[in-house]
Amino acid sequence: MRILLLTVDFPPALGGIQNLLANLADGLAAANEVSVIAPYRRGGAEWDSRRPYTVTRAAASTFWPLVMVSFWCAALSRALRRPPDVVVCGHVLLGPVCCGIARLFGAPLVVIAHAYEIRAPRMKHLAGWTLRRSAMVVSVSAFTKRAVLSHGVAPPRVVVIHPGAGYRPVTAAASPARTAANAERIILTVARLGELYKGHDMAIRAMPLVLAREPNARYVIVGDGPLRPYLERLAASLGVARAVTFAGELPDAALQDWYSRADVFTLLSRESPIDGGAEGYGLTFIEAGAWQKPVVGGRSGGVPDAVVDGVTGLLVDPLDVGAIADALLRVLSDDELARRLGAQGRDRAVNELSWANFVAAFQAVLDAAVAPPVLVRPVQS
Amino acid sequence: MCGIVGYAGAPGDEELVRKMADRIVHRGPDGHGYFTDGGVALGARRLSIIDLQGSNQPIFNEDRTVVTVFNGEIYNYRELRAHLEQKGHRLRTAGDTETLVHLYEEYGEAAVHLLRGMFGYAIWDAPRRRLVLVRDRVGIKPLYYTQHQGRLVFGSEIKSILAVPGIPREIDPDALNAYLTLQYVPGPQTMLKGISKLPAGHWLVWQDGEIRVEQYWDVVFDDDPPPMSEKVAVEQLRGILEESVDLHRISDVEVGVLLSGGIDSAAVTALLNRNGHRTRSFTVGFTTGAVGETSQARRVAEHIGTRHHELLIGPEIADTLPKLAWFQDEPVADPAAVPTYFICKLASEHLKVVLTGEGGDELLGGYPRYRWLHWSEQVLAQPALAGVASSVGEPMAALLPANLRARVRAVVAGRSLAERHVRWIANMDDDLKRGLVHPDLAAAMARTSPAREVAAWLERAGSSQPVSELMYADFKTWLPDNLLTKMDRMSMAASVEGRVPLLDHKVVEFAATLPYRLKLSGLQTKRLLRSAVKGLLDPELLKRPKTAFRVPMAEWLRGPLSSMLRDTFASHAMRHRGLFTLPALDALLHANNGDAPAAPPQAIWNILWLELWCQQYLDANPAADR
Repeated sequence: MRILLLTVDFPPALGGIQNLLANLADGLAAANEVSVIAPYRRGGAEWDSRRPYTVTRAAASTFWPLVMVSFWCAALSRALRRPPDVVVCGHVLLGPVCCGIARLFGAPLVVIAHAYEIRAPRMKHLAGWTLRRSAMVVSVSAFTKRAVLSHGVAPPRVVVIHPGAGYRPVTAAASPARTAANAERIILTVARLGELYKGHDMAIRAMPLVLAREPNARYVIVGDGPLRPYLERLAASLGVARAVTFAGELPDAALQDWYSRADVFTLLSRESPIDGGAEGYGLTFIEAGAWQKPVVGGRSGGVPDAVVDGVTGLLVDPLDVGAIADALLRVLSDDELARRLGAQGRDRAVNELSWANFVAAFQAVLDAAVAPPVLVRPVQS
Repeated sequence: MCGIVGYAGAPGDEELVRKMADRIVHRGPDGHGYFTDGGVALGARRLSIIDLQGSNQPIFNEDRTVVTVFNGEIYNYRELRAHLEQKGHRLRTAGDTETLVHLYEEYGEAAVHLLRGMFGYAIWDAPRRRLVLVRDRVGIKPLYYTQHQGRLVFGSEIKSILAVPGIPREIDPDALNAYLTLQYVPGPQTMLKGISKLPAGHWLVWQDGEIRVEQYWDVVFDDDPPPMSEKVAVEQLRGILEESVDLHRISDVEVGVLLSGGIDSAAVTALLNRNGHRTRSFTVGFTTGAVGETSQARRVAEHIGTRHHELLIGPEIADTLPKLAWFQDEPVADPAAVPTYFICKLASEHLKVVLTGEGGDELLGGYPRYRWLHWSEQVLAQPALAGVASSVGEPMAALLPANLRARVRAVVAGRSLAERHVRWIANMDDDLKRGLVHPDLAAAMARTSPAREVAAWLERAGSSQPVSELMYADFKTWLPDNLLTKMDRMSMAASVEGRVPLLDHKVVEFAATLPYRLKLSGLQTKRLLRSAVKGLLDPELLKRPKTAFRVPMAEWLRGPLSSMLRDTFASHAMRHRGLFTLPALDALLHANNGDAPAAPPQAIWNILWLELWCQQYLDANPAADR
């Protein structure tokens, strides 16, 4: 099958969606001919050269019409040379381009829905327009599926597939034993500092309570973005600056090192009631699970799909500092609980949510989309 | 709402702590209680609002090892009680105070992070011989302390601390310097040397005779928040304000509202009344001059549908001023203290709790000076324009009326943002101050300047935006040390609790992350707040520009207060106090009588108010010793 994937999020840019689409393209390329159209990014050529498929880079700009024209040209040129059997839209912003190419080449359209992009009021019309024109919609969580259905998409055309995680060989060395010299208890968040809904602020606000009972706690944030100065000042204003580390954006090896050192992973995403900001799923929870780490998540958006409450981690009200602190302290103070959640998280990440399973499920959706439609003739009475 | 007192570091003496508490009986006429042991004494006066029959203070934990006295309200106490019961704590009362001792057992002083409300409290941890004092994040409720002969003495009001024999009563020249310019003393200083305010958002830990004062919370203005449309900001603000007002309604007694006619109190009234509650509202106006906002407030009340009460005050205020100076505890020469007292007294005839609109200006950019100083920063950043501004602006300013002159000069001629800000808000300029202050004091006062202090606050904001810096400085000084001090003392003088829903910390934290451009957008002030309550208020009110609540101070000074002013300035006590030069005092008096070039009435008010306070707090056999 020839698959043309268009996306605004793709490595080497960092993020959960980028990670998901790269793993999807890599996986599909084993049995299909995959072409990807993605925006230009420094270091992209080097990254692309290592892929078993073709990546064409469109212009990256803050001037949106230029980006659109560039995507049109890149997609059209690629499709003329290798006419697609199916067009996969990685972000509804590219809906018009994807629909246009799909229509021109008579290929079905499959859209991947994450969360924010189809919930934001300013995207309402574009998202609805695109979703209603797709043969199938893949949602990353039940939460996202509800958002897709709210656009008037027929339920049978919406499929939930939970993204997975890469396989991490967990050894004894990956979780260093606590000793007197290494008494630090690390609470880890991996998320860009771009939007408040990711909840870094609430983890920082919970730190005084955590430190009151666990003086060796240290909150480590991997990720960078425009919110960093604010969050740094926030930590200072609460008197916890010395216990909060802003590690910045890190290469994969350093990131994996933090995962291995963490005692608990947390992401306290919340739903913005007004602008649609929310976690569609939370791939980093699965990544932490692969590292056998217990997780504490904000009960919001698609997070309950990524964290099985009481099994792979604990879910809390992401706006309640007391509940956040208590959940973190429970995991930090109860080694047996931490071990059990971590083991079950790993089991789920490795066996249930592997990338191989994700790709297989996605392949089934593509197969269904390209299969000739079954016509149902109304029964005449 | 209550008042608390106590000390640590000396054997507990119930008679002394009772005497301290008796000084603030107005804060809590409904009950009292004391705790003493070998090294500590705690006392409380109680105004019953929640759990009227139970919750008598002091309150203990299960095994009586932790004890607290508490002033304020914890609005989320029901959630906290459930949380504590789930953790196995046994609660004996039905109120909010008891949560403090159990939360302390769980989290130590960090428990304050779980509280939503206004408070000043003390916790004695007997096994560790440790006293913790905590003041709320914004400074809504007061807490003062001093160290004297090896002990830490504290109280909700200074007058309680002064009940301890031997505590010196000496004016702090730095505080006087700030007071003359600003009309209040920015914390942590007070007018009395050695007595400090516990700053808002701080706790104090006393152990083994050592004290440690630490900040646990501060407002952080985000300079570079993610882009947000005005519509989204308005909707979020509306949601968070509704939640805060609903939370501030929690009480076992009736809750009313003080309505000034301005947008802040009107917004609070509208939100409080939005579900058809027939809330009582209270407004004060003046018989002198035609400057009251009573008719405006009446229209708001009619539109919203409250049960409205009005009061006009006039010449009778002269007799109450000495009493108000005593109630005020530290001198805050804000003339609005007078109407605030009278409106609270009126409210006290009907109920015990009122909501008020304090805080909107500091959080949502309500003061026009933010915009003017923001513009001046941008213009003066260009050297060429700065030169033109000062060379043209100064001579032009001379042609303007006195009240505008100072502000134009502030904008064009200050050397720094701090100086421009101080010039704008100053009650008397440096020339007048130099001429007034007694030479013996002048040298001591020269060590600091209000502009330098303001500069330090601007710096502490840690922001790169002048508007955020100014809002931060106001939030940390003018708001707690003038507005909230005035509100607390005047409402407590009438035994009424004032609650400030715009200053709930969730509202504050949200407002601080709004882009400053949204706060200053349009030509109206507080556009976001106006939009947030659109539909609840009369559209005419929403269009009205901000007008300060103006007290007819000049008319009072020339009318009903003139003989009192004359007598006070001529009194032996004042003329021998050594604070001011006599010719300068006489010149002010002449100016007030219209016999000499006009002096700013606010300058005269500052001096009158300070003297009334000195008579109550410094002189032999003062009322403070009652």
